[in-house]
Amino acid sequence: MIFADLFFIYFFMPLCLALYFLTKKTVYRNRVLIGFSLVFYAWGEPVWVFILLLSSVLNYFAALAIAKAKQDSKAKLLMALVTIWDLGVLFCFKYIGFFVINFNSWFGLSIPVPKITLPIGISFYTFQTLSYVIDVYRGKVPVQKTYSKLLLYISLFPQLVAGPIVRYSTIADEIDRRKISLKDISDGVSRIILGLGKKVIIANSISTIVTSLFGEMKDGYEAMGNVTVLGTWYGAVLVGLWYYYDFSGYSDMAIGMGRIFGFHFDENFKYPYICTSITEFWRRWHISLSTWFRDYVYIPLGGNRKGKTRQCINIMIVWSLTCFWHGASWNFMIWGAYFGALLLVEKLFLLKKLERTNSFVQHLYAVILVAIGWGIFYFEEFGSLGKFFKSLVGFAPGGFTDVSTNSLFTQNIWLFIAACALSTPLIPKIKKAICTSKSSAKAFGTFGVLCNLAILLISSMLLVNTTNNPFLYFKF
Amino acid sequence: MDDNRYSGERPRRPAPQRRPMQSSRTRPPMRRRPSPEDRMSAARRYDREDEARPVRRYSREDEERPVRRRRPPEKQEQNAAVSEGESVQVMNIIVCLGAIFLIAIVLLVMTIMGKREKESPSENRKLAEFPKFSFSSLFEGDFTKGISTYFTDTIPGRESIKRFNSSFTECFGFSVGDVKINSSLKKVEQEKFDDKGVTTTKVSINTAPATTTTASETTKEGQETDKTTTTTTKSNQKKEEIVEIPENTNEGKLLGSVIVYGSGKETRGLVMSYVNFDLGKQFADAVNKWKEDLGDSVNVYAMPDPLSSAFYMPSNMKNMGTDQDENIKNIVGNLKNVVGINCVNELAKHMNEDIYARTDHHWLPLGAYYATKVFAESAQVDYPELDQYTKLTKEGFLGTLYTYSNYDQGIQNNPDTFVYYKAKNIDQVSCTYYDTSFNKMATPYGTDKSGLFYDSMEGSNCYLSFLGSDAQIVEINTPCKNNRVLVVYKNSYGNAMIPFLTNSFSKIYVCDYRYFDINGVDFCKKVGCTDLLFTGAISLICSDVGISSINNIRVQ
Repeated sequence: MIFADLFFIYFFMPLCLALYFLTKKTVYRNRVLIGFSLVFYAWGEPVWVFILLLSSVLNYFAALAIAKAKQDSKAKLLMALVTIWDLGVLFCFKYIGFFVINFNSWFGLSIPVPKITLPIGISFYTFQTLSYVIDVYRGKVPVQKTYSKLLLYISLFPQLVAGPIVRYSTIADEIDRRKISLKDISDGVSRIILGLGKKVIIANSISTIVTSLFGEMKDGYEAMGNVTVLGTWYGAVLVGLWYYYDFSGYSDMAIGMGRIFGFHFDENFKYPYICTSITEFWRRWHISLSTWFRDYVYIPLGGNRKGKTRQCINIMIVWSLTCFWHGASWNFMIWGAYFGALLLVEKLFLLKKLERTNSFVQHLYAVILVAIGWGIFYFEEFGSLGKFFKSLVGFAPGGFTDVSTNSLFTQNIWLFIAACALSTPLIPKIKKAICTSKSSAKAFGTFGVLCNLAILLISSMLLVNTTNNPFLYFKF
Repeated sequence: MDDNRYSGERPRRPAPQRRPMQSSRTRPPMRRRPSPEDRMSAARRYDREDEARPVRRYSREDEERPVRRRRPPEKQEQNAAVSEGESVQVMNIIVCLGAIFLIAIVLLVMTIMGKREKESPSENRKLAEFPKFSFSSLFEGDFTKGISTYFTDTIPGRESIKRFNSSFTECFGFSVGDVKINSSLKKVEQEKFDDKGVTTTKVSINTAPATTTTASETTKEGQETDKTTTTTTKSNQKKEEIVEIPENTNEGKLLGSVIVYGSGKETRGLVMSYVNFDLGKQFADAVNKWKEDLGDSVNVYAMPDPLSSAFYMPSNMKNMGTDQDENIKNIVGNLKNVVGINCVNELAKHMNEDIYARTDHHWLPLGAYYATKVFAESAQVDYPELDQYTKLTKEGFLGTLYTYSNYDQGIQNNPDTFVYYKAKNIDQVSCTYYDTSFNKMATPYGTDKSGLFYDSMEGSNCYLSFLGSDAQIVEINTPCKNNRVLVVYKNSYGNAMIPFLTNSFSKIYVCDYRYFDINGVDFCKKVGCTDLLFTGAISLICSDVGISSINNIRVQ
């Protein structure tokens, strides 16, 4: 099941909320959540839900044993085994096809390529379970003795299939005791609607423009045959906006839903496009993933404490893993190498130089490089990626611009401006400026309620058009 | 008991040890230890451990302390503004959750009462049905996916919601001049068919009658019989004068997903075809396999029908969509032992007559008449002149292009006149309707005596005047005595052709390849098919969906 779906919004979610608030005790509420979470997952993966259950059982017992063994060699062994299991499952589902294909082509073999469909969300929940076991091993969190509570953490449907990657420590308290305030519910609802609007109104509309400009994987990026220079730049920026609204919209809905249930997840996006460097961009984009890699890979490898060379190696290791996490495809490798290299250059000298320029230059530098990065991310096929790069620097088959590029631009100009403006903290700033007194805050709040209602209704109506509308980050 | 839902837990100040990022590596963060401030206010605050305490009212002071723990910097900044207050929060909850619950309940009630939408007139298709349960469909995920699709696809008021959506997306920007690009329009590469490189194979037509005239009742599946009648063989390729399609100098504009040009009674909407040589070859291959399966005793024909855009495309839009004549030539060139029928030239001769609807994506019966004539000649069957038909006229045919053009006024104000033709010996024709599994008879609604015509269809439904909806198998018995049995796999373009074939074949089975649930080869053998025709709008029958349907029903 996905969030931006009428069935979810007008059947699953209301039913879940009703049952949740009809039960009073946290114990029962947890049962309601587990039940709905498993149905939610099984809705899309009626078979692989058992992998999720199996994984949660194994990790539960492993963590118990690790906690009991207390840091000795037995704990180490168990830790290694459970890591192998978790990453092994992920590898089998996600990467084995890719490896077999490449082995075949490198060594001229013809090993049959297994046809495995990727269970949705496996990259996300694997990382969640891993973080739990590692934290138990490190003694940072007390082990969870009740299986159902651990299962609740792993399967909690708001964050199950597309993040944010919630740490066990973040919600450990709230599994047992949580209070839900009026503000939690109100903010949660607003957040869900905001996320829905981001996905349905903005991201989906932008995606159709991108498809018109670039084509898509399934038509072999047909439109790249006569793309224009302006169209390429416009498209690259749009791809960046599209991914941002799509993914942050999902995170908003997850955070909002968590909040209604009384869980407080960490933010996953902090207006990434106001960044002034690539380093800053990655501190603001998909934060739960970058901090995961930082805490469980970068820092254990020594981080920046073992000298410049070691730090550079560490950065490159983290970046190859990050790109690999996104998917088994060569363009993700290039994408990871691209950002890894940029981060290295920034670490080594560029950041210092950038600081001496003015903020507009910094911003322009960051946004252009990020947009190019998203271009790499978008084209899963090398021929089209090559055309993309050629067109960026002026060698476009369709010339500088054409009627179709211009029309796509003017026909979506307001959408484009709005999408750019809303990717900055404009609304919080306006809110701060207006809400200086009680009455103005009240008026602003009332206006906000009306906006919420309008966004909800418009998004719902737009959803009628789409019978299939998955979130992008589902494939990861 | 814990009634903490609205308990107004006091928003805590940001407690430094709860900062998320550092916490996991710098200090054990698990149990939240009270900070000094917390301890100070502990006496008067509602203790989170104590779940038995009664609800405490959310006080004014609470609103003044808006920062929750673990806020990212921006959020703190945002919350530096004065909070909107409890009354607004209550209003927000009531309005938004109220709307969600209200819509949910209305939808649930309507589902239970069976008040969901069932058909989409503008998309011309049946909407999704509630999936049938089986364990295999459950474990393959089809059942749950089916429910989600059903839920979205059959939302009540679908048509008006879609209209709203199109006007909403209009607001995203403005159009310069008359050009409007819709996401469903693609840029295309124009391919030219090189007939020099292709050796045209002559396909001989087997005009022997069916081995059994009461085929559907008596013939066993898979029964093959030797032909005893001599077969006359004649080349179906003949030289024909090529008619040049004149240039249309009108300025066309893109509205919604269609091109519209002209004014008054000249207003015409056009749908583009994106069929390319690759798809065409796939289509030809799919039909070739039928011929391989059915063998020499069955003549197989492939007739992709051109859309009106093949004839009336304004010159400024020439590059929208692919050249249909070239693509049909390509398809014909790729056929093996299958008779390819290209009716573009024949239709071009009659371009100035009303052969295509201006407001609908279909052709008009007159166009179908000329096109079918090409087929009849190839099949070497009788084909009566048009004066052998009674002409009937319906005014006010406003078709699908009205919706596709995002409700263009020009189209709305100039509906088509729908003229259709009934054979003078129509009373000797009889139709039997079957379901798509050919199991049980279905009852058609509102047909004339023959069962072929639905005279009561009006307005946007005029095109449904023959054969009604698509989701049936129709068996037609005709006065024709040549004992040839025609099976037609078609999409809606084919419907208009059938009334002109009731004096050409003894029996006709009309099947829609999109809704056909049994094995097509077995079906042909069962009914004693002598002639098998694949026909339909080129843009649909040569699409991925069309090709995979044609492949599927051969083997399913």
